Amino acid sequence: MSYILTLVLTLAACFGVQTLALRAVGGRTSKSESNFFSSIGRIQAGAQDTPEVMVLGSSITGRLPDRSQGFPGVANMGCDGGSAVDALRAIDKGILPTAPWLIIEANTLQLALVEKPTEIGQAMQQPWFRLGMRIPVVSAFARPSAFFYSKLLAQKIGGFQDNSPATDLEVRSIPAQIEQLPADGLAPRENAMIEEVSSILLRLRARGCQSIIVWLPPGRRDGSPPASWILELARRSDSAWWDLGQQAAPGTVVLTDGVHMATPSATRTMVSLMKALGR
Amino acid sequence: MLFNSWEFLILLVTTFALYYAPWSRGRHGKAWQITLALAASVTFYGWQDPKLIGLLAISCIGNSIATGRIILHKLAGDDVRVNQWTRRAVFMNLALLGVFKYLPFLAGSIPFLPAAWVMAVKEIPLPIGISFYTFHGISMIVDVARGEVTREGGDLVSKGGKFAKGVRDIGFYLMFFPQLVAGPIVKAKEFWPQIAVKQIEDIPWKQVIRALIIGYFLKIFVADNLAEQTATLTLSPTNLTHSSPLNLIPLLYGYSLQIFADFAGYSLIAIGLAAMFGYRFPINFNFPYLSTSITEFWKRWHMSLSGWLRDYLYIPLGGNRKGPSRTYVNLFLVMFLGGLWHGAAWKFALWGSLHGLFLALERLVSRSKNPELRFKDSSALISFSLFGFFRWFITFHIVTLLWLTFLMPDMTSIVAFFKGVFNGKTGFSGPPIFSLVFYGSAVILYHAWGWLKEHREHYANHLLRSPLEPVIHGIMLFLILTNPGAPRGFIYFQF
Repeated sequence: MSYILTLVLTLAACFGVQTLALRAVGGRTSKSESNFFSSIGRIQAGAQDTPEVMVLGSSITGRLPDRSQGFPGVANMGCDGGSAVDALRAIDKGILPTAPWLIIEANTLQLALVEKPTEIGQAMQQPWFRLGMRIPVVSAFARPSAFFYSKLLAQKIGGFQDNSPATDLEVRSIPAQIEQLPADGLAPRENAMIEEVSSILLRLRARGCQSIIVWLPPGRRDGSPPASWILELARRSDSAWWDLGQQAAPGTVVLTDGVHMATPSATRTMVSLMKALGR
Repeated sequence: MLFNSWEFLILLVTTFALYYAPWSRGRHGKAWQITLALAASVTFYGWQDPKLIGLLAISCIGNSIATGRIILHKLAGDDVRVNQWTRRAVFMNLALLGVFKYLPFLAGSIPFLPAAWVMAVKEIPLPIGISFYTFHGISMIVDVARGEVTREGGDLVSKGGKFAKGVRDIGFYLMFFPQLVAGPIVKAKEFWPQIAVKQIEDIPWKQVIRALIIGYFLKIFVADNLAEQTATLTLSPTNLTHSSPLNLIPLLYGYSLQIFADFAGYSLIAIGLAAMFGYRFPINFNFPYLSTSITEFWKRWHMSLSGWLRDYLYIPLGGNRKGPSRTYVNLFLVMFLGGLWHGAAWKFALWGSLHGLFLALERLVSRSKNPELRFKDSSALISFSLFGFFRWFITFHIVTLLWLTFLMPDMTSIVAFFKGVFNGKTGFSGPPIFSLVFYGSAVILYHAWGWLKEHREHYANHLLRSPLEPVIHGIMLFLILTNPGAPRGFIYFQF
């Protein structure tokens, strides 16, 4: 009996310490050593309360700050190794909530063309994912390992040189226009993806959601236009098209590894996006 | 079905409740319990692919018929027929293993076979757990033929003295779900005497809770979390070649700790589950990374396989009774075959051969050395002995390096790994090192506990009696609930 009592008390004490730690870090940890759980945690945190702006995408989106980092009403749904389509499907199925503004990262949309569902897309269907959305202590953003890893990462990224000027990135809506379709038209998989995603976005529009497809920094290295099917998707879904990759002046964004933005640059990007939304 | 799945939890709770239902205390209690456990085992095994049940049934029926015939001829004193039936039954078990596990490999190695045939043979799926239940079958046949399990008074009875009954019990022995898929390989002479009516009040709850908490902790917290990092080693040989040693080496250590946590975790869960149903399974891992020689490692790692290979292969081959040269050959041969038991691939043959070579070398060295320095019983040397530490260090690194053969999909990847280790790059990413430290420390602490038990027994006993044990179990439970890895199968399921 004393064994069970001690075990239960220890368990309660551990959950107590975890709850306090969670409060101390502002409600959620920023990153786990596991890409999988980083994404899951970010999405579970984003799905709590009622977001006003949702940013959907990959780990590039994942670096953007959300409500726990000074942007009230913003939910970050970045899936490491995935694309915005994973979260869009979950929203469409009612697993995730909706928001009046949906910012959809275009940089990695081509990953959705692979027919196999991503690990994170599958995980969002699981009962433990929904449990974590409701009970913070069992969510992926409250993993004990994530507290330690976030602290280490904050020190590393905090020490990263980001001396880029503190200017806004230019954000302006441009009509999604395909200058020239590929000679053989769009691939069947691209057409299927346009059909699926535009249907979801139109359904969400009927529920009051405005969607914007955004190419986040970094831009396309050779300055080439985005894939035709993505522009066609923007047109068919009646979404705004913002190309920050091309619009941002060179040197205004610093990357840590050639792909992901350093924290100050990600914050500046988010400030610019919010201004463009009139928030 | 996995031990770490919701479906299994439902099956377990239902089976447990029915197994100890009030009517299990009646006249037909044993029949009820064994039949129920058999039904649960079939559900457990066939959950994802019901077709697999057919093969298991063939193995079960074939072994049951052979066992019955061997017992009858044994009672009649007809040793010729006993040997005939034993050979047939062992052949049947090996044939099942051969067709499903080795035929695809052999077909690919024969040059003149038509490509379509080779493709067709290669598409034969490997039934999960086949290596384990065929070894159970062989153990039963041989134990019966040796007279270690005999028929007396109309019942099957072991030398241990308790009664078991008929073919149903044979099926139960082969298929009992905690050990069906990945062991421990329980010998018939150890299992059969335990077949009897079980009462709920006889359950050793403390051992059950201890085994289940530590088992699930090792699997879910340690192995599954390390697996996400070590999986990157299997992506492509090109990635390995262009990676850096500071990424690759921590991942190799990580895999060494992961495979221990995965398999030892599975074995502890199996032991805990069996104890819930009133059965004692032998321990399968005895802090193997404390070993100071490869010989000692094999006395501590997958002990039920080592014991099986010793009893049913090494000793029948002559063991160490036919002179030193034959002993070395036998050691090598047993380990080579043990390697191939893990899978039909050259990488497993290499793994087994190298272990066999090290065992033979140690045997050779220990014959010519001072008895004080012989490898057997050498674990005491680890305490405060620089030489002991050196031997532990060498042993751990040999074992760890050889795990590469388990992790990597082929020999090309193994070569690419070494190219990456020696490419002179200095960059590294954080998650592999973080994971190695954060999750690997649990395995190190577990072995520190093992060292304490072996070398400072009174401290260990004192700790076991103190409230520290439930506190540690509480922390483990907390980490299982809040910090699990992405759910994945057990490594040994593929064997």
